[in-house]
Amino acid sequence: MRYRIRHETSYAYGHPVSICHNQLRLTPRAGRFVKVLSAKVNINPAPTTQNTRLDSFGNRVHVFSIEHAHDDLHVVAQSEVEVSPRPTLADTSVSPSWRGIKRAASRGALRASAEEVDAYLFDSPYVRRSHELAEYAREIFAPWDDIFSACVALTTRVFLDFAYDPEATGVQTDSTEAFALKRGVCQDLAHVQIAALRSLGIPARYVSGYLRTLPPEGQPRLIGADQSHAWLAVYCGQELGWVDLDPTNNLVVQTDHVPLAYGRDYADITPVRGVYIGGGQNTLGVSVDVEPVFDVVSKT
Amino acid sequence: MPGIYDRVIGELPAAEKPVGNQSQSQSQVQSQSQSQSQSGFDSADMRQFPGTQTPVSQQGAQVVPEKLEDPTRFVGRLNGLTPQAVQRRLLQSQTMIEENAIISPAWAQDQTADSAQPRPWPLDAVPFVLTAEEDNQLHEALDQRARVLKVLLADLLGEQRFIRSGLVPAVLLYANKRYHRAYQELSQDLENGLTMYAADVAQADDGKWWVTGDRTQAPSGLGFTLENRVAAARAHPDLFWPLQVRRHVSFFMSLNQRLREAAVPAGASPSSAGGRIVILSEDMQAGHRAFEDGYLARYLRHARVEGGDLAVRNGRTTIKTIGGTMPVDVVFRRINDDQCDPVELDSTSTQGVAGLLESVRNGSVRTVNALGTQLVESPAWLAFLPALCKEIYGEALKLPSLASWWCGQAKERRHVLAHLDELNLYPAFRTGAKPIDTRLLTKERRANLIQDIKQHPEQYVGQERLRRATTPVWENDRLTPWRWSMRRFLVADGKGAFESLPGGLVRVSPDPAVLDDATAASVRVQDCWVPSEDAINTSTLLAPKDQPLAIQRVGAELPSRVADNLYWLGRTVEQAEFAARLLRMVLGQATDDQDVHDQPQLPIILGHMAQAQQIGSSVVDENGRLQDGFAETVVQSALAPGLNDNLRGLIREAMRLAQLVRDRLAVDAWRLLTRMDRFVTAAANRPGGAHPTDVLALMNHVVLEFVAFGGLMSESMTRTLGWRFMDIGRRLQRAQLTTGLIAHTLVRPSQDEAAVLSAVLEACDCTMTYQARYRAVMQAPAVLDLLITDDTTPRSIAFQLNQLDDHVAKLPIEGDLSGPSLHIRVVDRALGLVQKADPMNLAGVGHVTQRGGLNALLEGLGNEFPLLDQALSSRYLIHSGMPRQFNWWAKSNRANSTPSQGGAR
Repeated sequence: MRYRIRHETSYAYGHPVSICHNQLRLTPRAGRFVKVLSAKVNINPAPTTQNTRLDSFGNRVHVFSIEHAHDDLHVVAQSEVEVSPRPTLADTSVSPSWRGIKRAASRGALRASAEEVDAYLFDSPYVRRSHELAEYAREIFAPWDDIFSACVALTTRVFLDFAYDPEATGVQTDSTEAFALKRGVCQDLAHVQIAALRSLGIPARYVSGYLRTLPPEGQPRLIGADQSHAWLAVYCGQELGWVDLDPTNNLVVQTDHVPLAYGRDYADITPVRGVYIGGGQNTLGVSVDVEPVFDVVSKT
Repeated sequence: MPGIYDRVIGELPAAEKPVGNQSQSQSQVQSQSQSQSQSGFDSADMRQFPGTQTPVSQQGAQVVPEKLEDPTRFVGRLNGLTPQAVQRRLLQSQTMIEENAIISPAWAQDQTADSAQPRPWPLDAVPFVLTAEEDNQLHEALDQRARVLKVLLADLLGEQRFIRSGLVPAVLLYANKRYHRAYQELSQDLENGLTMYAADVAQADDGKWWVTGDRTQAPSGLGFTLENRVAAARAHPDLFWPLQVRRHVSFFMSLNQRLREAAVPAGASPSSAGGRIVILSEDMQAGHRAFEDGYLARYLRHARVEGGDLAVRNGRTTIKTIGGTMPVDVVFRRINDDQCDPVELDSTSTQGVAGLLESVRNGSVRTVNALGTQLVESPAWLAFLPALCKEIYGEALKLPSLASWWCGQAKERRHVLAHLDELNLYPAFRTGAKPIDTRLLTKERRANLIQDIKQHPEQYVGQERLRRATTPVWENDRLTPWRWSMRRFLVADGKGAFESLPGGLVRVSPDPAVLDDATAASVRVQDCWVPSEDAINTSTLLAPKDQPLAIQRVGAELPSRVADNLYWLGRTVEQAEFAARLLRMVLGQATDDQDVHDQPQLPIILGHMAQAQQIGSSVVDENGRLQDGFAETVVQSALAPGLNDNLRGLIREAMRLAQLVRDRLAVDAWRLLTRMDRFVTAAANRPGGAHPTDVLALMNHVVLEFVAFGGLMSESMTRTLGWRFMDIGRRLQRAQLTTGLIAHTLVRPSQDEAAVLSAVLEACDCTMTYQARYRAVMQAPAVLDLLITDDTTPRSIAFQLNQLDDHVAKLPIEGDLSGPSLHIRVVDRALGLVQKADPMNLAGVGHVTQRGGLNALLEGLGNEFPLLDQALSSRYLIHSGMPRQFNWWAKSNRANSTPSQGGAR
């Protein structure tokens, strides 16, 4: 599946901003099933300084500053990616036992693999392990042996237990708070499921990205109506690697999701973060467009 | 007969003991102070140190090192002092500390309360004596420990082989809430990441030494240690010099050398020219650190800056000065790791510099210590250091940590839960936290704590409760044994090892729990002396005598924040002086033998004072008559606490501003302000209230102090930009106050104007000049000339404007500007108004009852003064506002996809 993605963020300030320092994580993350064909970020007004680098998780970061007075800021990230189908797991025999993963993780035995797992086993700013969440996960996991099936079952459980409610939580809500509320947005659901898995001793990481949305039957696709999204990935052993799960939509990630960055939680990979001086009252506009490209004509 | 000075002297343990296993077998108990009858300790209610079967006070014999017992030297001399002599020395050192403005944290916290007096950090009258052998052994042990921590740190932020090999659990890194991934992404010099290190050490009352904690990011206490030494050495010159006490200077020279080396890119050869080094400190409101950092900065000769003074421009860290931004090469940061950059670290921090990490990444600036050094100071590491030391150096730790159990391990957790009441509980990843003593908890809170330990075991460390040794302190006019703890400071020696500061910062308290809390404010400190036979290093931080000095004059490197504070200090001092002069005049006339109702100037002047909020408005009734007992009311309201614009409030505000720029002011200027504050507060607090005649006498003193302050400013301050901004503040304020007073008193001439004219002259300190010129004949034109247009009188408005004209012409001009700047034009306009004015016309009364010309002039000036203030502020003083976070208001920008319709396929 090929997508053309355009993500525009606009800030209009009530008073001029004299200076800002920012970091963007808006470049799609290449991986086993994701090929990034092109990616660019345009910033207006032209930044005083800008550069890009990889962070310690391997995500592409754009760093820029604007050091003169400006009344607005536009960030447009455009990319084209190819997402290939992941093998469907009809045969769960390739999925190792979750108890085995948990044991190996606690002994540090997963460390031998090339993947970093230690960072995803413990608390992080938004993810807090607890007995309660361990119980929550264990109840689902107990009947299962293979980790894939158990995690799919947990994803369904989180999907059913939580009400989607953008008003209930804020950008600072952590997993404990969201779990108590049983409400929230995709970020909260992902944090809760990650916390549940880590409470059990299973490595789980946060993924930010985009989701292709389908228009209602018989209606045209609306440009810019998509939104940024978040889900999680579970470490399922050397062979399966990290398996992406989307509790907001109760599904195993296939070709409708485009990842931007991996991290321990939202705090590690906030798509846009920074500090500015001045500004007064502001208005923010975000538009995301994930356009499927069906007729693939190769261009040079 | 035992001397009154003796301390439990012990030996360092020969070999490290396994942590958690405290067999006290052979260590000899050599001395004890508790057995003495005056001790005041009831040892029965104190827990015995683990392993000791009998109270230490019944063991051993008293041993005092020979050298200290020598009556011609320390003990003999100290014992020979009378209590009065010790008391005198104590007062002497305290006065000195107070005047040097090392203020204890307690003041910083309640300085908003008007009753709070700046309280000096309490330095004990008696120094602490550490033997040279102890000092040497502590040095060797802590040098080893620092080297272990240095390697551990470089590994954690680099390859992480200790984690991969299983030597240390990964959770020690990841469960630390202050760990940021960014620390691993910086191009830092990890090899030399740990430049400064401090360890808290303690001696048990059986003589054994222990390390109770590590400080690796920005150890506090260094400034206080410096300060204590200066005060103690001056208080006891007869004791200090014969003892050949080891000096501090070599340590600070090394520190400065390391800072200079950090300014040089790795690989390049260090040049003496060096880069710009700044000391990044908390702001003055944030805590006591700022005060001691100010002292440290003065000693090391680098600028103390706050987060707001620095800005990242074009990828470089710069300092914002009056002359523009200047690049900075080294940030010796005295704030925590995660406070350093709100963009990437703790986004709520206001102490840091936005973009600092990018600037570290591109190699244009270095921080000392490196960022992320916080990671290895967590109490959780204490239990792992012996194994790490074995692994890295193949040797045992020379000085063990106080037995500590990190609950992240099952066996250790069980031990802590089983011995909860015998241990101090600390957060595993926070230093400087108050320990939890479970014996003091309610049943419910204790149960909650146990629950939390089981839920989040990796967040807790249990530590042995140490029975600390004692040392004599001066209390109630005699020597009394108190418990003590010591912070030792080490600095990298540039060759892979560390150099120690001889002695350290010694805190003493009768309550050991206070010492277990490493940041408790309410303790006393002692200067730590290490008497030695070594040749004393007499070098200083001053440049060598034979090295030619580069001639330096005024530079433009005045931080904008400092200029702002000096400007407001100038304004506030002027305002306070004016308030004092008005008060003195009013009280003088109210208390002389003339009937107050025959003095028409009094209601007018009092009305003016009320308008300026120097006093309450209730002393004049509706008919313009003075109320009975008005003088008492005036005195009360001028000295009432908690107000901003009365005399007391103005002096307090001047003190606050002076405190903020303490390192830019002469010691004498600071003394004058503290004295005034003390006088005024004392007068206000007098039982039965302040009496007008007493306050009149007081005002004579206070006005004199202000005159002295003005004299200091004009005769002792170098004409730096700092002085210029302070003087601009004074001149502008004086011109504004004189304008206001004339507008209120002389625009509408009263029946008996001579009395009013005379009062205004006195308030403006022009009586003498006037009498010399005109004798006692009071006429408006002559008075107005003297106060407004005569540019030879230092009190006239014309004189102030001439001075301002000179100042604004000399301020730095940055960038290409077409035509003169706004502030220059404003001063020109105001000066033009005054120069055009003719005193005869000004004094003329037209067909209405007011002086139209005078009124127009004063209104014109009144419009220009605020413009000048704004022009200066926007141009030079305010370079930044409060930084704001993008994520704070980005709620709608967070990932918030709704469940897709019908699910995605």
